[in-house]
Amino acid sequence: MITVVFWISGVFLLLQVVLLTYLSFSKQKVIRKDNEVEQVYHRVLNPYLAYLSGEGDQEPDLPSNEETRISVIEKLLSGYVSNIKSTGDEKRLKHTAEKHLSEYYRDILNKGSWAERVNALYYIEDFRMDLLQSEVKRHFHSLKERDEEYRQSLRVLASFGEKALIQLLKSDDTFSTGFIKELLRRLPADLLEELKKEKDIPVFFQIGMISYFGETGYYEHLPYVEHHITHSEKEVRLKALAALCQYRYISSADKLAPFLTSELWEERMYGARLSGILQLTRYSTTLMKLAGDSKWWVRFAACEALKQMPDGEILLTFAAEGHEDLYARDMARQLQTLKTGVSR
Amino acid sequence: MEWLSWIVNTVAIIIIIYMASVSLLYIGMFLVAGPRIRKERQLNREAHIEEISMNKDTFPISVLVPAYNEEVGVVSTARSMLALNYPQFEVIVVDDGSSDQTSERVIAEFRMKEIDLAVRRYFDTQPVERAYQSTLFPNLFLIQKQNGGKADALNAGINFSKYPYFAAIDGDSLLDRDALLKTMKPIIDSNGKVTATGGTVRIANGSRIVRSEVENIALPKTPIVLMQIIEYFRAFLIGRLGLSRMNMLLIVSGAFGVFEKSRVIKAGGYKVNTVGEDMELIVRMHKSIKDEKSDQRIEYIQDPVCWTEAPSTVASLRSQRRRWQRGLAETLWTHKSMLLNPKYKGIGLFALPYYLFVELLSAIFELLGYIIIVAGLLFAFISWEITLVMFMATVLYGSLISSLAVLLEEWTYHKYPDVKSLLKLFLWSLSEAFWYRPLTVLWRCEGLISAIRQKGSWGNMQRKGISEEEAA
Repeated sequence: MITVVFWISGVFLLLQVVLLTYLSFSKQKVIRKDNEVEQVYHRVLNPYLAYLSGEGDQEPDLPSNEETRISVIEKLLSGYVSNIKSTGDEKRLKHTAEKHLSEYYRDILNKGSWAERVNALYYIEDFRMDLLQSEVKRHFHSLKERDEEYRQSLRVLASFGEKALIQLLKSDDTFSTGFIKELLRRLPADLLEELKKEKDIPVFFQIGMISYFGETGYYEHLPYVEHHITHSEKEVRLKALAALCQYRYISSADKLAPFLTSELWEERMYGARLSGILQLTRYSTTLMKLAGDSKWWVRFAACEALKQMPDGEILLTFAAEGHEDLYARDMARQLQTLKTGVSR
Repeated sequence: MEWLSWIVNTVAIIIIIYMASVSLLYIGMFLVAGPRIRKERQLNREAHIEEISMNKDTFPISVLVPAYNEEVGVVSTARSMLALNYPQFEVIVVDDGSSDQTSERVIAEFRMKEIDLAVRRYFDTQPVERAYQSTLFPNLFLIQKQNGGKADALNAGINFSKYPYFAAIDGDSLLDRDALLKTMKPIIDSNGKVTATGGTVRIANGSRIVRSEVENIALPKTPIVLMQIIEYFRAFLIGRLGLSRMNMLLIVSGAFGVFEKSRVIKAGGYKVNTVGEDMELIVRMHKSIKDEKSDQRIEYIQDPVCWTEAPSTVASLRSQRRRWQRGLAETLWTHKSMLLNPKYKGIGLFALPYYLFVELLSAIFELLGYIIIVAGLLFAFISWEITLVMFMATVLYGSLISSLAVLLEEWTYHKYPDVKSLLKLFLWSLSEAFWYRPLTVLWRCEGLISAIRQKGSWGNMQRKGISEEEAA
């Protein structure tokens, strides 16, 4: 038995020594590579920035070693991409990235590890490498897992204005509103217009669109958003109301009245909030009533709205001192002292 | 004396089998956790969270900072919270009836003004006396309440909070600037299917942290802290990630975790009369998810998002370990009906038994093992072969797993920048069985005893502070 234990212990010990040796060597290799990349990067940074910004015609020499060259180029372009000011800058970025990285990324998409593929997809989008659009599309169709690689492939395709994306988005209800918005943010304006004209857009997608339009604040989407406050689906109506709060607009104050007396507390809350944002004094009495609503959020929105009215302080003082409802008085007192931005 | 020798030998063999089984279990968990860390090891972390950092509709979060007699660190903690990179959040410092200058420091530093309260009461807590809002940062609040313990303070924070998610953080921890982005990513990506997330907590002792940014990662000089670093790697990178991948994560560290408020409210909030409120809440959340037959899950991310100051004295480490062990025992006792209950699937059939037999009772098994080794050496009633086998099993028990944990750490980011640190960690991990483990085993046994006797407190330790606030 002792011999067996010694053998097992010996094997474990050997395993640990092998592990330690592997760790030391791989660590040393990584440190060496990082140092080399760092050195080259600092050497070429200024001349390369001059080249990218069009001040110099001659591209600075880059290392012949592919691994180092790729790392340096990625680092240079990642830094440069946040400073792009003109379409000329963008063209040079795209041209340089495609010249040095397109073949490499093609290989990575075919044979790279998961992390390498995801990194490549991040860079393909950042560096606007639309030369690789068909590769990314092919790669996307080959994916089985719905993980970050899948999501990033879709982001890349959206930023390249891939038309087939619209049908995919319409047919797949597993996408979250947040993710739909991520894609909408990337779509070119003409595709967005096409989307607005589509007849059979599912509810989950409409919610994403309305929410995104509210976020942009672009006037051209406003009629689409306002049209949806009478939609049959509650969630669509709520998103449209929330978006109008962001737009700080409604074409007619009359349209708000049904929401202030709605059976749904979310509608009462948004109705109150929008009344405050637009300072619709005609609803002050209704808001005063809503300050004693059974829902905390409605009370908060109503008191916040009262505070925003031209005579807000007086209204709030009245609510804090004279409201028949104890909760309304509490809320009004909190709003008197609480510094709050306008909730949207 | 023959019967005594027979009993001791039998116990020794049981302990050897136990240790071998636990080692195999850990290796199994390493095999579950390892591929995930390896898969993501080259991932560009900045690009990975870039999208949500710009996303305007990322779920807003309330960051709750319970503080009890934290006058030394509370201002720097609050400041580091305010510097978090996240689109929309509020910071709520809850002063749990401190007898020192905790509130006064916060009020003076952030020019706070008293506000009236119209607080919802999801849970009953000790009375909240006053609330303040900063005139400099409108998203910073302080609430003062009567002392009720950390769990009570967190419940009061939840009552006061206004956002759908909250992050609970210890008053003595510092968060990575992107901590909220990283921990919210699984929630956002899963469209709310993930109801709580925790990340890796790293020990800050030895590293240079300036204004919550890790400037230079280095190992501490004190062996007792060094051993805790190895222990943390093992617990987080193998234990928690392994369990999380099987949706059986039972602990989201009290130092930092993000929770969906509605789920926590459904689960009943933090339990006030336990010292292990973090684990207890997670078990109850699992229970609530399973009772509802919901497909929500609790996830762990391997990214180091939180930095904490580890106890650097024997006394404070002892107190911490006793508290942890006691919390674990209380949680397992409270939820004993879930243990081996098929209704709770992996949680009842694997995770809870794992915490009972491996995390809780291992202290007793190991203590017996150490006693047998010493007794075997001093007296002749136990065979020397058994003593030797016992000794080898004890050494290998911890060291192999520790070295595998060091490997996983090397595959994450924020790793030590030189080979020397790696070697140091590795070699220290071999010494664990000779001094560190016996000590912690003893303290954990003390913790078990105090769980039976029901004694507990906030468990404060003397803080030195981990961030150099004014240095940069």
